[in-house]
Amino acid sequence: MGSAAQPALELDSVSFGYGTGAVLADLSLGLREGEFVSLLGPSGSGKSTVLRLLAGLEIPQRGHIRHRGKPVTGPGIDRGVVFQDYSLFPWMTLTENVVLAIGKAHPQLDRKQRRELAEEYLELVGLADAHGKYPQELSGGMCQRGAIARALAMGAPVLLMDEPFGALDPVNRTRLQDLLLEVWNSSRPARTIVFVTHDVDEAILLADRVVVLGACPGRIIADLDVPIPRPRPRRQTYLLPEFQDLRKAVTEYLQGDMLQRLSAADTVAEAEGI
Amino acid sequence: MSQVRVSGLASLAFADLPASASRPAQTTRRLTARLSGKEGWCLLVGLLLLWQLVAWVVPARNRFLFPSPLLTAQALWASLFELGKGTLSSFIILIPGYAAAVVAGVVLGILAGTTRWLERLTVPFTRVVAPVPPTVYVPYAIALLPGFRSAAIAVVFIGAFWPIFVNATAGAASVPQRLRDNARVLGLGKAEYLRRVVFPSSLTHIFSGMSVGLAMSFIMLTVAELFGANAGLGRFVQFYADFADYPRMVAGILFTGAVTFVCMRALDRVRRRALFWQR
Repeated sequence: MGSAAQPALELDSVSFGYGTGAVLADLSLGLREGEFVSLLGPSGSGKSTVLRLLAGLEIPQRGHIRHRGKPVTGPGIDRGVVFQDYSLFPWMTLTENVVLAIGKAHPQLDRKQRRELAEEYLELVGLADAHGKYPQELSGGMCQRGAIARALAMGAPVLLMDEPFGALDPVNRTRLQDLLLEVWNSSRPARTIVFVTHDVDEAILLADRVVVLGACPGRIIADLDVPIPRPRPRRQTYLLPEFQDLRKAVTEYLQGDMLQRLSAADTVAEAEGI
Repeated sequence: MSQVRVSGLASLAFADLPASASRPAQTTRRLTARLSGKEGWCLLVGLLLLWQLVAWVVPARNRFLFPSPLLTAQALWASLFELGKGTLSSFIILIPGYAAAVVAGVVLGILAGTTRWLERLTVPFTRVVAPVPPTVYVPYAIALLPGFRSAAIAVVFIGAFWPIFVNATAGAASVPQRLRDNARVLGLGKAEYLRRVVFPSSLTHIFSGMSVGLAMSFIMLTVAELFGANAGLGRFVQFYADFADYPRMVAGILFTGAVTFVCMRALDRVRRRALFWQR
C-alpha cells in the first residue's frame, strides 16, 4: 500500500472486538515514514480503536501491528499520543506536564535542562506566557497546544492524534491545524502522523492520504491520496478542483456506507417482523 | 468537577418535571444553602438559650445533674489550664496514631487498589476485620502493650486506619481510564505512576477516608482515656464524672467537641488546598 518500501507503521490483517462484537475486521494499513494520514469515518467505525491499537493501548485479537518492523506490544515513547481532551494531568502545571514527558523520553537531561526544553516547546506552540498555569485555568485550545507540545517534546517519530481538535471552536481549530502543519513541515526527519477526525475538510487539508473507514465492523472502504501540493493556503485550497473532487468522493464513500447500514438495519427489522 | 456534573444532571432532571413538582425541591435547596452560612451559628445560640431555659425549669434538687450554661461556662473557665494540659496529653497520643494510620492507610490502600493479587489478599480483612467496632480492642490493647500511651496510640491507629485504607483502595481502583491511558503513553514506570498519577487522582477518596478516620481517632482516644489514662480530655470527663462534678464534666465534653471541630476544620483546609485543581 502506498510505497514498495517497508512501511514505517503497519497494521497487518488486524481484528479487534469487545466481547462478541467485532470493532475491526481484518484491517490492513501501512504508513510510510514521514507520511501524514487522516483516518476518517462515522462513529462506530473504529477509527479511535485503530489509533489505540497503534499506540499499544489495546492489543489486537488477531493480526500484527509493527513500528519500523518491530511488533508493537504496548505503549512506547517512540509513539506520542494526543487525545481529544484530558491529555494533561490537572494537578500539574503545563510545564510540569511537559517536563514529566521529557523525563521519560530524555532521562539523561537534568532537572534544569528538562525545564528549559519544556519551556522551549511551550513557546513553539505559542504558550510562552502560560507555562506556570494549570490545565483548568486554560482554554480548550490552549490545553491542546500543551498536549501537542508534550507530544513533540518527547521527540517521538510517530504522532498519533485522536480527534485532537474535535472539541475546539472553528477559530482555534484553524489555528491549531496551521500550527500542526507548521511543526510537521519544519521537523526533519518528518514525523509520521496518524490523525483521526470526522471532519472531511480537515482530513483533506492536512493529510497526504485520507483513509475512510466504514462502520460495523470497522474496515477500510477507501484509501485516497491527496494530490494537492504543499503549502496549502486554506482559502485557495478549498477552491481547487482537486480538493472539491476529493471532498465529493470522500463524502460519497461515507454516505454510501451509511445507506448500506441503514438498508441492512431495515432488512433485519423486516426479518424480525417489526 | 464531578460535583458540578452531578448538579448539572440534577437541574436537567428537574427541567423535565412540571414546575409545581420542582418547587419543593428548590425550596429545600435554598434553605440548606442558607443554613450552611451564619444560620448554623444562630441555631447554636438558640440551643444554648433553650439549655438555659431548661436549666431554670429543672427542680433545685436535680440541678447538680443538669448544670446551667452559666455554671458550665464558669467551670470551663476555671479548668481551662487543666483542659489545655489534657489536650496536649491527648495530642501526644492522637497525632502519632493518626499520622501512622494516614501513612499506612494511603500507602497500602494505593498498592491494594492497583495490584490485583494484593487486593484479593486484603478483601477478607476489609470485609471481616474492618467492620469490627475498634473500641472492642481497647481493654486488650491496654493489657497487651507496655504502658497506656502505646496502647492508646495503637487503638487510635486501628480506628483511623480502616476508613483511610478502604477509601484509598477505592480511589486507587477508580483512576479514570483517560488518566491511565495518559500515563501509559508517557511510559511511566509503576512507582512514578503510583506517585504522580494514582495518588493525586485518589486524593478525593483519601481525604474523605481521612476525615472519617479523624473522627474515629477522637472516639478511640477518648474511649481509651476513659479506661486507663492519668491525663487527657477523656480522662478529664471521666474524672469529674466520678466525683459528680457535672459542671466540669459538661465543660470537658464541650471542650472536647470544640477541639474535634477545630481539627476537622483544619483537615478541611488542607483538603481544599490539596485539591485545588478540582475547582
